[in-house]
Order: sequence, then C-alpha cells, then structure tokens
Amino acid sequence: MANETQKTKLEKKGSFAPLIFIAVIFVATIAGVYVITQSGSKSEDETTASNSTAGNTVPKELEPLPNYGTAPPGAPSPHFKGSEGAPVIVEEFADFQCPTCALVYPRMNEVYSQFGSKIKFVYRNYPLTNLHRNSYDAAVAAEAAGMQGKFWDMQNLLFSNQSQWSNSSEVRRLFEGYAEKIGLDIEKYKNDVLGFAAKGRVDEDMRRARALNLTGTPTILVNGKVVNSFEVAEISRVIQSELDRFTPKKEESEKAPDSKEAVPAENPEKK
Amino acid sequence: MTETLIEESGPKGPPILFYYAAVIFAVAGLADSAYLTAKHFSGGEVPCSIITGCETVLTSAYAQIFGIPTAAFGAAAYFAAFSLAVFSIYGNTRLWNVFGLLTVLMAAFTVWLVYLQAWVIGAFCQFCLISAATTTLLLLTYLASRLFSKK
Repeated sequence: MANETQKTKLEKKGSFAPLIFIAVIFVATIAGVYVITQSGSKSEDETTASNSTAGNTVPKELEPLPNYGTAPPGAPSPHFKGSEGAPVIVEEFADFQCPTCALVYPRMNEVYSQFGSKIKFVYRNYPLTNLHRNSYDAAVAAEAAGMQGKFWDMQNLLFSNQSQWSNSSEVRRLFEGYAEKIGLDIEKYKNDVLGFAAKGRVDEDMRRARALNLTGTPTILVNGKVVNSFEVAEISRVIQSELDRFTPKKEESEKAPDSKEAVPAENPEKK
Repeated sequence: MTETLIEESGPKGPPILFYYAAVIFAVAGLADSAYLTAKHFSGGEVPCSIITGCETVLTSAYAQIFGIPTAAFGAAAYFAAFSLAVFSIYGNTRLWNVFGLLTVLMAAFTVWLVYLQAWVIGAFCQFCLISAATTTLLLLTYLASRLFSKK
C-alpha cells in the first residue's frame, strides 16, 4: 500500500518529464523527415541552378575519376554504339535487374540518337550481385547473345521485360526464350552461357567498375566524368560540353593537344 | 528527482537498464525508418546502390500498404515502442508489458518483411535490414528483461 501511494505520487510528479522527452523526439523525427524530403528536391534544383549560371565553364566542375586512366580496362572490345575513335566516350555501367537502369535505358537511347557517330557509347556490366540475385545471370545472357552479335537486342529484351524475370527462379529458361525471340542459335547460346568467355567478360567489367569505386547503377561516365543526373537534358549537356572541348580545338590541336582547359565562351569558328 | 524514480522503479519489475536499452534501440529504429519514409516521399530516381540500399525493395509493391509507405508503419511502431519505454523509465511499469506485446508484433512483421526480401522480391535493402536488426534487439531486450525481472 505504502509503496503504491509513493509510486502514484512519483508518477504525478514526473508526469510531464516523459511527455516532454517523447515530444522532443517526435518533433526531431518530423523535422528530420522534413529536412531530408526538402533536401532531396532541393539538391536537384541547386545543381541545375549552378549549372545554368556556370554557363559554358561547366566542364570545369566535373572532374574525371582520379583512376579513370589506370583502372582495369574492362572486357576487351566492349559493346559500343557510335564511332570507335570518337573523342567523347560515354560509358554506362548498368545492372539489368536495377529498376533505375531500366528506367534510364530508353533515355540513354534518346541521348545516343542525339549524338550518333559523334560519340562512342559503351555499355558495361556492373551487376550488383549482393542486391539482385538474377543480375549476374542476366549480364551473362547478354554477353552470350553478344557472341552472336546480338548484344543490343538482348539488352533491349532484358530491360524491357525486367519485371518478368527479376523475381523468377527460372531465369535460365526465360532468357533462353529471349534468345530464341531474337533469333540466336540456341544451342550455341546455351553453351556460351555456361562457358567461361561470357562470364569472363562480365567479371572484367565488374573489376573495372570496382576499381573506379562505383557504388551504384546506373553510373554514366562521359570521358571519365560522372554525370550526376539521369535526365536526358543533363546527360546531353555534359556530352555536348565535352564535344565542345574537342571540336573548336581542331585547328589549335597541333599546338596544344594536351590542353584540357575548358574552351572560353567565344567560339573562334563562329567569329 | 529522476534518481529517486530510478530507485523506486528499480526493485519492481525488470532492472531499469533494460528500459534504457529499449529507448536507445527504439530511437535507432525510428531514425532508420523515418529516413526510409522521407526517402519514399522525396522520390526522384535513386540509383541502385551498394551503399544506401536498393531501389528494388523500396519501389516494390510491398513498399506501400494501403498507400502508406511501409517504413512509416515502422516509424510509428518505433515511436510507440520508444514512448512506452520512456514511460516505463518514469515508473509506469505496466506499460512495459504493452511494450513487450508491441515488440512481438513488430518482430512478426519483420520476419515477413525479411521473407519478402529474400524470396519474393529477390533483393535486399540495407536500411530495411537495419530495421530488422533493431526490432530483433527490442524483442531480445524485452525477453531478457522478463528473465531478469524481480517479483
């Protein structure tokens, strides 16, 4: 009895303390959520704002990855569109099971259609195997299709039908269906999927991605510079500014081929 | 004043240490699930990242329940667990049993979520796994407190 009365007294005395404590945490949580939600949308605005104000000097902002030149080259003779010797190399590291990669896939096609042979558009496999259980098999399937010259067809089917196979435990059969659809020699395809060559290519791309310290997919590199956006306009802008660095310099290139400074706003050819 | 309260609530029920542990784990879980909720609302295209957890899970059909982000349910549950633990610290030990019931429910929900990630979605989200860990810790804290409680 004595204990109980003592306890109720204490509860009454301290009754506001827990409420204050709880209220503080509640407010902190709401504030935290608000800040994160705002910063998420703000950061995009800020980057676009800074880009537009920076105008033609934007390429100075983006720096090539420090080990871009020294990292393992990835699978030899990579799958690329455009022209082999183009001055601007767009290198996309992607994972066939990554939803964002599938989302960005048609956008990358749009970007490519804008520049065509002016660029070299390279696709690299970076299956995030710890996150996506079928991503590695998908990459191998694409490489196996590539051995019959149909890498891009397989890439298209894999990205377009991502939801169909992502959770499947019978991807091998599904991928064989895709292989038939694009007219592959199915026996050769089956062998290539099991062989070391296709896997080896995937592994070499992954080695390159890891050496470059890429932490996610898709990662789009333009001459080694990471594009911080998945919007067509922004990717195109970075590519265009890289192209601008090379094209107006053609006349001067004999004098200063190593100069990597951004070209000033005045275009000598226009004058 | 708080010291006397601790002494008072100490001899009855579980040692006060368990309440504090529960508060810490609940705040950790709350921060984690609040972050996920915020991410859900901020939207945008999040890359599939090996560091911050994966879009696959956070954009899956299971990321929402009745249109409310699953993480928000988690945040509400952690907030409730936190509140109950705080009241327990201040002597309202009866609420500790409610806390226990809540953690059992949370653990059951967590088992389902981990099952979904492993077998249905086929992808893991690191921040969701952190939440699974904090829920497990909350449940263990409660079970341990029962084991050590004085009658």
